[in-house]
Amino acid sequence: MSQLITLKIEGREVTVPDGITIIEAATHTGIDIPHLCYCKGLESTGACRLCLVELEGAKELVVSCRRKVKSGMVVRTRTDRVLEARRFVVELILSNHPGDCMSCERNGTCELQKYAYELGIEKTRFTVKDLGYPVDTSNPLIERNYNLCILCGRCIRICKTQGSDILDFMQRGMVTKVTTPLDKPLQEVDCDFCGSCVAVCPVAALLERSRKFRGREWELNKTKTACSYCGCSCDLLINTKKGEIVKVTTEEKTDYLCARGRFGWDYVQNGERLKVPRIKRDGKLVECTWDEALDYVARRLSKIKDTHGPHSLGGIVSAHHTNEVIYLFQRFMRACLGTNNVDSSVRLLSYPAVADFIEVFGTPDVACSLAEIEEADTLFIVHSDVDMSSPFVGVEIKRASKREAKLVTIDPRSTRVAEISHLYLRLKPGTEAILLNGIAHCMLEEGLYSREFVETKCSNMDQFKEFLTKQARDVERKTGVSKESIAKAARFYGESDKKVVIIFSPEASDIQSVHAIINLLLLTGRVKGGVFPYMPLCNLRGAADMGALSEFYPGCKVVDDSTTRRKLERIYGAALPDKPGLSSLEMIQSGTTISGLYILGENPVVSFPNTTETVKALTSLDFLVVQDIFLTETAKLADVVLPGISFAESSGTFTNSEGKVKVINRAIDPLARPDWKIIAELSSKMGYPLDYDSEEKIMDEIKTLIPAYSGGSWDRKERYSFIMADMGRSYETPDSTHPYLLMTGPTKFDFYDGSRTSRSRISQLEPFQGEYLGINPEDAKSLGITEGSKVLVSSKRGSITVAAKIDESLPLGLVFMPAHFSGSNVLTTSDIEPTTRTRKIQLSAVAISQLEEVGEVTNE
Amino acid sequence: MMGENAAPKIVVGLGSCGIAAGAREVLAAFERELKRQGVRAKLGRTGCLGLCYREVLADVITKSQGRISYGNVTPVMVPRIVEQHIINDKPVEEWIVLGDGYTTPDTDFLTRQYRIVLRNCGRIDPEAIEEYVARDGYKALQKVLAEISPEDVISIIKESGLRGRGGAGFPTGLKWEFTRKAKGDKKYIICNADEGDPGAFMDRSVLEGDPHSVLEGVLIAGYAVGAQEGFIYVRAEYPLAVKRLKVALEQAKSHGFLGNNILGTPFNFNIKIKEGAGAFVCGEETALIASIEGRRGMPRLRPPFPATSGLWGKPTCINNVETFANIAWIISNGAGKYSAIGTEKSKGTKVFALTGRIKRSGLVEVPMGITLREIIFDIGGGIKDDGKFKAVQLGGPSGGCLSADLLDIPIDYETITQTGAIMGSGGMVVADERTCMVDLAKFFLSFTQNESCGECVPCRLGTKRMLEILIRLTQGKGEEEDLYLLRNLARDVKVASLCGLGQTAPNPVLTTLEYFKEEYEAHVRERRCYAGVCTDLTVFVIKDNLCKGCGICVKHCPVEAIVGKRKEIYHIDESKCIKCGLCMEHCPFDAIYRA
Ligand SMILES: Cc1cc2nc3c(=O)[nH]c(=O)nc-3n(C[C@H](O)[C@H](O)[C@H](O)COP(=O)(O)O)c2cc1C
Ligand code: SF4
Ligand code: SF4
Ligand code: SF4
Ligand code: FES
Repeated sequence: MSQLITLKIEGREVTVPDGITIIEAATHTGIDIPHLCYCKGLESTGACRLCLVELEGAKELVVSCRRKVKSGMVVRTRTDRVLEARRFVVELILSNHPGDCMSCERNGTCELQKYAYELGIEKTRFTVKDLGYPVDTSNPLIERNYNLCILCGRCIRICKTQGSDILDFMQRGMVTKVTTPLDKPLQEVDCDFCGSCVAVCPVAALLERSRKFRGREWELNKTKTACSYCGCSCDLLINTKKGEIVKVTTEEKTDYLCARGRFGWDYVQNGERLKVPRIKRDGKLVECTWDEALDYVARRLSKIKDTHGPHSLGGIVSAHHTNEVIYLFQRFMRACLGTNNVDSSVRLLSYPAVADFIEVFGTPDVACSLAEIEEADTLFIVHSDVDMSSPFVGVEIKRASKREAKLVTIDPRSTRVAEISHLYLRLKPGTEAILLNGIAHCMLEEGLYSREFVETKCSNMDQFKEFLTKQARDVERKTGVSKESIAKAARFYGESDKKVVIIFSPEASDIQSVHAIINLLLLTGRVKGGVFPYMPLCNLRGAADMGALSEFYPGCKVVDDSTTRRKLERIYGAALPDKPGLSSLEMIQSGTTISGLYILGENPVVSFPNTTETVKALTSLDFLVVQDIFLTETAKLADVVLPGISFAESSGTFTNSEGKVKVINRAIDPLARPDWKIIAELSSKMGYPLDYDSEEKIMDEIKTLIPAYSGGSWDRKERYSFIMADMGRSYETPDSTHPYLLMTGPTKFDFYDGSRTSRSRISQLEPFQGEYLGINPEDAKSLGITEGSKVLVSSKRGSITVAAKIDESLPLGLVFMPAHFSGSNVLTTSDIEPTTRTRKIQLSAVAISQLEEVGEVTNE
Repeated sequence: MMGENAAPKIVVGLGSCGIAAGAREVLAAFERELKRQGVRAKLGRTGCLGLCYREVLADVITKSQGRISYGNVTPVMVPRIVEQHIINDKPVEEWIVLGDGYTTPDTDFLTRQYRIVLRNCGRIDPEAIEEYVARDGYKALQKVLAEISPEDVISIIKESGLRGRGGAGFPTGLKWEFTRKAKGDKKYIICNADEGDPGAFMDRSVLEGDPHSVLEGVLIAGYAVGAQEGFIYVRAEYPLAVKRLKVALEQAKSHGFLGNNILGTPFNFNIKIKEGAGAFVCGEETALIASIEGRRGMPRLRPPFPATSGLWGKPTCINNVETFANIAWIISNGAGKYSAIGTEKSKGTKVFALTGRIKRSGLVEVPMGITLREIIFDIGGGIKDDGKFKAVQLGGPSGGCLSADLLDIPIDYETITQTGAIMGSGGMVVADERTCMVDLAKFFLSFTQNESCGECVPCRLGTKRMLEILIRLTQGKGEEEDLYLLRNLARDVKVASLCGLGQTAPNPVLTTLEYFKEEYEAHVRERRCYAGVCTDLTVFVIKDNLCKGCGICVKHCPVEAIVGKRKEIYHIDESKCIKCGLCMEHCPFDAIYRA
């Protein structure tokens, strides 16, 4: 968009966009101007003075990383004067850099070393000083050795924009040092451990600890793939040496990865990985051959099918698997076993949003892109733990806010995002839908909506008006948010000329709040790029697209749609069931009709509500087969355990929160058998051969079924209806025996069911090993609880003992527990909401009492 | 000044320098004495007149004698002044430093000056706005608000030729114009009163002695550039200046010179005081702005210049105290009168802080174009203890050291810059033969090195490496190639540093290397410091022909380094001598000398 201008660099005419810097222009032409403080993607400060160049007509040398290009400029980058200045700078830095290149990890990629070499500096003429700073190895992930620091300031700048802004220079002059608040170790100052600082550090002052002495830079193999944790599914490079993962990096230094993405890979080659199948014999899981295991599974499944019919079988697949694996799994369940009882993590994590999108828009593909978040004028953030759940979204929000976008946050907890918001609506827990409807009502009253869109595109405005009028009663009292704030929010959202994006957590949203969010989109006509549901698992979008839902075929076509069914039957060569199957939650309930269950990668004992009920249901099954990479809490209950592989060993694709298809490439050899092969073999053994010779072949089939996966697009509706439901509370009402509301959710380092992160060093960073009860300081005080006190938390379902963690972001009466450890779901309820067939209750009522301190606090 | 009231008036100079010399005690003594002797007289205070070497200064103003200033006043002298001068109308002649009809050794000190900036210093009570107003204060503000458009104010300042007195000498009118023309919903004026040069105290004296002249300048600037808010950034080590500024702000407000609708016009302007924490680099404009914004006081690269993007990203005009103190005078007296003073490119006057080995140290305001010789010898009275002039350091630690050959150059920005020194804020330190130039360079460099903010490599590391070489030289450990390395480093630091601090820090080294090269060479080749300052390079020698063998030196030597017998000639054992010089001091026959 910006104008092009022409200038001369090193005698060459170059045409570049106006407004860029000389150094950027030089890069355009392939000329590398040495630089240390400047780093592509970061604002530069001009501090190192290495990038000095000569400008015709200028008396002094100019700093090319800051000076903007001008038409007609004549730049020389290698004159004697320039070279002398550069040599001088590098030599000075070397005089204060007691690095021993010999065994330095950055040898070969160190930027200082590179320039010393290029400038021909063999030795500095000064005595090299040893600064004597202690090397910080007090955290498991990042080593900090400021003796090597050249004070370029990159880490400080990047921590401001994508970390937790905890770094700065301390003191002046020679004793200047990069430091944290009060010079404390990272783990004590709320460091995100995103490792961005490590990525940009030009020298070895900041290092991944994992790489120490495990491979020289030139020995490393880099495989481009994508992260398998949250729905952002960021691009990353797995660095391996001789089949061992050494570290994870990014293509560009400033590309973002969170702690999980950058450091949370070490579970992959953890010693607990399953490599051989196991069969339960005499109540014990014992190792066996693949043939034994698969034959046994085939036999048992066939038997159940024969005796109780296909609908007594069910399958649940986790959405951290590739599209290819998930697709094949549903084909196996539907075509080979003949049941629609196939479901996935989507159910508990994002079903209301997926179902609503499909119903209202005709497609699940509604999210805007991550880049659009950064560019928005206003962001509406419903559930602001986004920086825990999907850290990269958190970074995009921060970037937007830096660009002066307005943030409106709706959350009972005053999170980091809430703190930087222009308008923070601290509502009572569980009243999101009421508040959102209140905002919509206010927009109607003030005329802040798109009349044209509503009149031409929406069918049921009158009904909706009526609904809102009813809903809008008492909003202030019910939500605890003042009328003025609601009106302000309505005005923020109603500004029609602004680009506004609603960011919400599909995991934390009940169906009513999803309805309310969609209605807001319709009211303002923001049906494209107006919403971003951040998916808590990398391939939740893909899992829904692939048909890993009991009511949807691949391509999100309802199972009762006969055209699709006929087409599928033709391709699959088998008759398909035509009624929706059971949801995952329905399959694992007491009184379920399921006798045989195939679980792929999912760990319901931890991730499903009401653990006691879940364990009961799983243990009363006739046959349970679990395919996973670890002997998870659920696998321990299985009759057969089939070892699969991790993302680092897989090839295939994920479909991330944006709807982008990310390519997963195998970085290391499989430690066990690829999941798709296991499914295919099992299927063959059951008389329904699935012949693919690679993952790509599976994708080819997917492409024929879902046009959007082969460059096409989703069918979208052109006319819309407001969507309404009043189904009461989605939280358990607290009473005198259970006076607190418990919220479970993501934390910074641990993840989902914990099966992967608990086997990674990152989980060491969680306070109390990630097993705690967060509680407001005043509530704690009235209960006589202090940080670390052992407390007994109980609900109608059960009780557990954990450490208390004082958390000022929580309001009175709301307590929090990480979702990824098995304890929290002991307390939650698995009540089913009938339309979505997922959990009805998001917040459970609990009682808390302090346990007497007996000896040491343990967290067993 | 005497006017209506016939009662005699006693005015004591209560600037920081006066107070340090005991002005408060003198004031109390006057109070006591007047009461004791039952005399009616008014007691008042004023700021610094500039004759620092004569503090405490007390003026007695009577109808018959006019204003007579006494110097080096102590409480003991007070009874006599009261009795003789006030009661008997006979001034105490031997104590007079200035007075109508009296010629004293100090007369030259003031008569050779041209006082614009210092026009009121030492003449008015800085805490009484009435006295400022009585000397035409705030007339210029009234004039611009009533009859001069902002653009015309800028034209006048441009025409006057006034250049910034904070160091770089950037044309003030032009800076105002840039700020006026820059786009911004808000604009700011900043008065830079950080004055971090050791040995510079002109800004402090102006703020202490005549704060309203600065406020008036800031207000006029605000009107001219279209700003509504100003900040005065004063170093916290200037408590008296801060206090007087605060008093002045209150008074200006209550007199309608400050606040909303100033003097009944639509012009609104407010001024806040911000106390700086004292780092030298905070005087650099971008660091200063960062500091006001509450960030670490680190300079940033320009462009953009503050005039387009300054305080909170808004166009900001930042000028030095002295610059502002010129403004009202220029408006009242006309640009022509101002530009008539000085040289072609440097107009008006400049205040210098004259210190070091000089007879009359203090603040002097001189017309541009005057020579160094005139300042040092005519105004300053020459070298202390009739020593020999060796060098003058101009512009503080960022400036340069000039030798006797350059005494006749005229003072203007360009000429001084050509010598390798800078005008700077106006520090002028005079050195005599007892000063070692290597040591002097080391002194200034250790100051800047210590004050380097640490952000950019050349300044952070370059100055440190230079300092290490200088230390080696003064310890007699320097090698020939050190001189070469030092010169190269100095040049490179100058070229490559980010802000003015680093760009000027090598100046003392470069100029001493240029003008006093032999001294460096003596340190390296002969391992000698002829000024006798670098103790590692001096030896004490007893002259055979003068030694009377009295043995007094032996008694005073703390390390028993002097050997010999009474009545015979003594010798100094070099290996034991710690170069304290006590023997030399105590030898009654001047038989010991430094070599
Ligand atoms: C290291 C450094 C220190 C400075 N200190 C001062 C100072 O103490 N006072 C001052 O007025 N200007 C100081 N300056 C100059 C200011 O950056 C700025 O140029 C000046 O305030 C502009 O005012 P003027 O145009 O009236 O001279 C300093 C510059 C540098 C590089
Ligand atoms: S890891 Fe991230 S949050 Fe922590 S210091 Fe580095 S950049 Fe900042
Ligand atoms: S730690 Fe690395 S990135 Fe940070 S300032 Fe030092 S050298 Fe630069
Ligand atoms: S933000 Fe999400 S996708 Fe990106 S690195 Fe972190 S967990 Fe992985
Ligand atoms: S890269 Fe430009 S100054 Fe450091």
